[in-house]
Amino acid sequence: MNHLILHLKKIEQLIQLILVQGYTNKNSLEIMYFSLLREEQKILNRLMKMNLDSLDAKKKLKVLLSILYRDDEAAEPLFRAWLRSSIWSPSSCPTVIERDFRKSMFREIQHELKETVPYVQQIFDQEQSRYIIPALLRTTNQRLSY
Amino acid sequence: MSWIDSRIDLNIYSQGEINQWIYSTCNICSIGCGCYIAVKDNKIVGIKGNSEHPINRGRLDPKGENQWYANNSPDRLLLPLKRDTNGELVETTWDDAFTILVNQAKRALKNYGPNGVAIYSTGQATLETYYTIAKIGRAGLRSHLLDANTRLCTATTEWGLLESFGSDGVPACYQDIDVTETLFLIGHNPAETGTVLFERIMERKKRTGKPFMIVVDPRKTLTAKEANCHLQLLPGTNVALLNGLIHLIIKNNDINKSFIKQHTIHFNQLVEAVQEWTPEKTAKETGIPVKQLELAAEQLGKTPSLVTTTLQGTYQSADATTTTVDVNNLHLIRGLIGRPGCGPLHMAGQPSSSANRTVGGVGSYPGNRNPNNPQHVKEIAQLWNVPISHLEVGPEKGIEEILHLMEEENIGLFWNIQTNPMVSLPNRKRAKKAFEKTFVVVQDPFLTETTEVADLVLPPAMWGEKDGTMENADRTINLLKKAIDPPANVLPDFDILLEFARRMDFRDRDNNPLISYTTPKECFEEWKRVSKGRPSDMSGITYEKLEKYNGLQWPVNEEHPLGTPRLYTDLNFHTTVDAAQSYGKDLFNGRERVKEEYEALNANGKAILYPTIYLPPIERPSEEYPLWLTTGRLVWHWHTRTKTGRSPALQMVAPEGYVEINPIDADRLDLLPGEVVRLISARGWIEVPTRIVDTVQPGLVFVPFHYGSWEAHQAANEITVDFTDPLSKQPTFKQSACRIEKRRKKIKITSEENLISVAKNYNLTVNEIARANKMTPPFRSDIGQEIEIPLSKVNVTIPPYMPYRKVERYPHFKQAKFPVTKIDLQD
Repeated sequence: MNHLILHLKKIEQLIQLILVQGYTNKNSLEIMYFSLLREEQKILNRLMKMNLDSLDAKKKLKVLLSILYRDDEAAEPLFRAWLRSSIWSPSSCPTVIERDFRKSMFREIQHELKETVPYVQQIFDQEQSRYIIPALLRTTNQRLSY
Repeated sequence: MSWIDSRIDLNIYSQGEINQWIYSTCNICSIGCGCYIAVKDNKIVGIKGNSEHPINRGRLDPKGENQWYANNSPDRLLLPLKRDTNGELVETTWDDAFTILVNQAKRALKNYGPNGVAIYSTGQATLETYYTIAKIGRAGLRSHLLDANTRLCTATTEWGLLESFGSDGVPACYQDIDVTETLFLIGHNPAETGTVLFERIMERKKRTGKPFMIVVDPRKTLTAKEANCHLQLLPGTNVALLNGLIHLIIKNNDINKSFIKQHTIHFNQLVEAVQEWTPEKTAKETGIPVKQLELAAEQLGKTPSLVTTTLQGTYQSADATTTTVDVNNLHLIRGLIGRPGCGPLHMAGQPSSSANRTVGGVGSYPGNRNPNNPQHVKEIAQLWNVPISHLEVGPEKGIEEILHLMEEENIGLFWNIQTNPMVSLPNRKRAKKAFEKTFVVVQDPFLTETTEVADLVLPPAMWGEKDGTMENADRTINLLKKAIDPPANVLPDFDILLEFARRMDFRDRDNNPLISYTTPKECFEEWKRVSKGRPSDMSGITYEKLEKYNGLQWPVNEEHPLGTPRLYTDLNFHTTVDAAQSYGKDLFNGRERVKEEYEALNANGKAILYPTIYLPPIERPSEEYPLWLTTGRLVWHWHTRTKTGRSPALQMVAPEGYVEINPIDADRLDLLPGEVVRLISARGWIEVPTRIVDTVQPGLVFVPFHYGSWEAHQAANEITVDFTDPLSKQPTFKQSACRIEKRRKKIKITSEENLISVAKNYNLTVNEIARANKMTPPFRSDIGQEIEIPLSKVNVTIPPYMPYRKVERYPHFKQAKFPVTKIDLQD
C-alpha cells in the first residue's frame, strides 16, 4: 500500500505542476482536460487522506481509484488533441517550451499510473481489478500465444 | 399514415427478359428501403423498389437506383493481393492470403498482446457479419479494439441515447414523422442524404401543410429551402441554440410539469444551466435574430407533437453528444416521447450502422449490455461459453485512439473491412502515417486509396451476392437475399471471418469451435438467443417473417411478435443500475462514470436531464485561416465513391469535387465561378473549382468529402481537423478553418494584344478577365499592364434531385444563381 501511495503522491505533484502553470490558450480542449486534472487532484487528495483501517476502506478505495484512472483515460486523448491544436493555431498557441513541459508531465503521469497497476491488482483480485483499471493500462505487457 | 400510394422506381439495363427478381434491401443510406434485384444469367442487371415495403412503397433514392452497377464493374478484384518485396500488390491464392493473415494475427498477439489487433469495419455490412466480428474480436482475439466507420457517422446517436435513456435504440420512428405536428431537423439534410424519407415528409406536407418544419443548418440546404423556419446558425453553435430555445420554453412555462416530476431527474440543474441563455445572448452566439428564436421556441413550446431528427450536422459538429442530449432534454421537459408523433429520432448515416452498434461489432457489448457491469459480461461469457476473463471490459475505443496506438507502434494487425479510411478519416495524412506503421489488411471489392497502404487485400462479395439482415435508422430489421453468386474466388465477409476463426482454432470452454454456425441464418439464430430479454430483443424474428412483413422494428419478441415501432410507451427508461447499457460519461469532458456514481443519480427508470454547457469549436477562423470550412455529402454520391463512382449516371452528374463559396466572399476575392482555387488549412491543401452560391453563408465554405484520390488533390480530409467529441469520439468534420489562395499567372499586355484577344487565348470572356482583375467599365488594356489569368476553370453543375419538385423539367439551380457578373446571365 505504501508503494501505491508513493506513486499517487508523485502523480499529484505532476498534476499540480500543470495546474500551477495555468491555461495557455484556454481553448475548449484545454478547458476540458483541466477539469479532469482538477478532479484527479481532488481524488488523489482523498486517496492519500483515506483511513485505510476503516470498514469500508476497500470499497471507497475501489471507487476512488476507478475515477482516477477514468479521469486519466478521458484526459489523455483531449491532451493529445490540444497538442495538435496548439501547433495548428500559432497565433494563440502556447510556446514550445510550455508544450514540451506538459507533454513530459503527461508522460510521467502515464508512467506512474502504469506503476500503480500491480499494487492495485494485489489489493483487489484480477477479476475485480479489470473493472477498476482501464484495459490499455492493464494489458500493455500482456502477451498472448496461440 | 405513410404514403398515399406506391411508385415503383426502376433501373434495369438488360437485353431481353430478366430471369428473376430477388427480395432485398437498399444498401446505401440509412432509410432502409425495400427493393428487388433483377437477375439475368447470374448477373445483376437492375433494381426496383418494393411497392409493399412500408418504408418506401417502391421509391428509391438515386444512389440506390444505381448501386448495382458497381457489382458488374470490370475493375473488381477477383483474387487476394499481397504486397511483395518490391512493394507491389500482386495476386495470390486464398490459401496463401489466409496463411498470411493468420500468421500476422498470431504474431501480433504474441508481440503486443490482445489489444495488438484492431478490426475496423463498416456500416454497410450485414448484422450477421458484425456479430461475427464481435464474437471473434472479443472472445477469439480477446481484443476490445473493435471499431467501424460508424464512428464517423452514428457513434453520437448511441452516446446521446445512453446518457438520457440508459440504452441505445431510437425512441421514435418514421411512422411518428407521418403524424407529427412539428418536425425539427437539426443538422439533417434528408433532401440529399435520405431522399425517400424526405419525399415521404414532403408528400404529406404538400397535401396537408403538415408538419411544420424547423431546420437548423448553417447552410441553405435543399431541406432548409422547404422549411417553415430555417435557423441558419453560425457553425458550431448547436448547443448555444438549443440552450436558448429551452430557456425560452421554460420561461414561457411551456413545460409538462407532471411528466418532468414523474419521469425525469435533474430538472433543476437544467433550469439553472439555461438561465444565462437569454434570447439576446443566444442571438449573439448563434447569429440568429431574437425574433426568429422566439418564433421557433413558441412553435416548439406549444406544439402537441414533435419529432426531432439529428444527423451529421449534429454528430460531426462541436458539442456533438451534448447537442443530442439537449434534444432529449427538450422532448422530456415537454413530455413529448413515447406516444404517436413524438420523440427524438436520432438518425444513422449508413444502411446498417445501427446493427453494428446493436450486436457489438463496434466494441459495444452485444445486446445493449454494459461493458462495466460484471453481470452483463458474465452473461455474454455464458452465452458464448468462454471464460469471463477472455472478455475485455470497458467502453469501446474510437478510431482516433486506435490510430494513436498505431502511431505508437502498439498495433500489430489492423484489419479494415469494407471501408475506405484513407478518404473518410479526418486529417488523412496523419492517418496514412499511422497505417504505414502497422500490418494492414484491407477487405474491399476494389482497389481504393486505402489499399495503397495495405499489406494484404481480400476481395469480398458485394450487395446482392450474400444473405443477411440490416438494421436501419428506426430500428427496422430488413432482409437481404442473395441474388447471384459472387464472382469466382470472391468470398462474403461472413465466410472470410469464419475461415479466419477456423484457422486460428478459436475454441470455447468445451474445446468446441468458438464459431459453430456456418450460415448467416444460423448466425442470426444464435444472435436471437444473445439478444433475448435485452432492449434489442430479436428473439421473435425469422428471415421468413422479415420477408413476409417487409421488416420488423426491434424489440420483436413474444410480447411484440410484429415488432415495436415506438420505444418507451410505458415511460420506463433503462436507467436502473442493473439494466443500463452504460453508467454514462460526464457530458462536459467525457469521463466515464463508475457504478457507484450512477447509483447515486437514483434515476431508477426515469430519464436523465442534463445541464448542457456550450463549448465553442476548437478551431475557428483566424487571421491566417479566415474562413470556416465545413464538409458534407452530395445527393449523387455515397461516401468515398467506391460504388457510386462506378455508376455511369452518378459519376457523370457529379464527377469531381468543388468548393461552395458565398457571393460576398467570391466578390471580395475576385473569384470566377468555376475558377480552380487552392484551399489551405494547417493540415494541408486541396485544389478545387468554385461554385458561387448563397447556400453557404458569408465566411463559410463547403467541400463535399467524396473525392479522395491521392493524385487529384480534391480530398476534403486533407484539410479537416481530427478532433473528436469527448463522449462519442466522433470526429468534428464540420468545423475547421481555412483560407483560399488563387491559382493564377500574371501576364503583361503586349502591343499585339488587347483584352479580347487575351480572353480568347485563355478560353475566358472579357467579363471574366475584368471580374478576376476587379476592372470597372470601360475595360481598358494598356500596353505593359499586368493582369491575372486563372490557371484553370471548370464548369461545375450539380443538379439537385427532388422528384416532387419536377426539377427534371425545371432546373432551379445554376452554377451561380446570383448575377454576380454579366457572364452569369449569358446562359
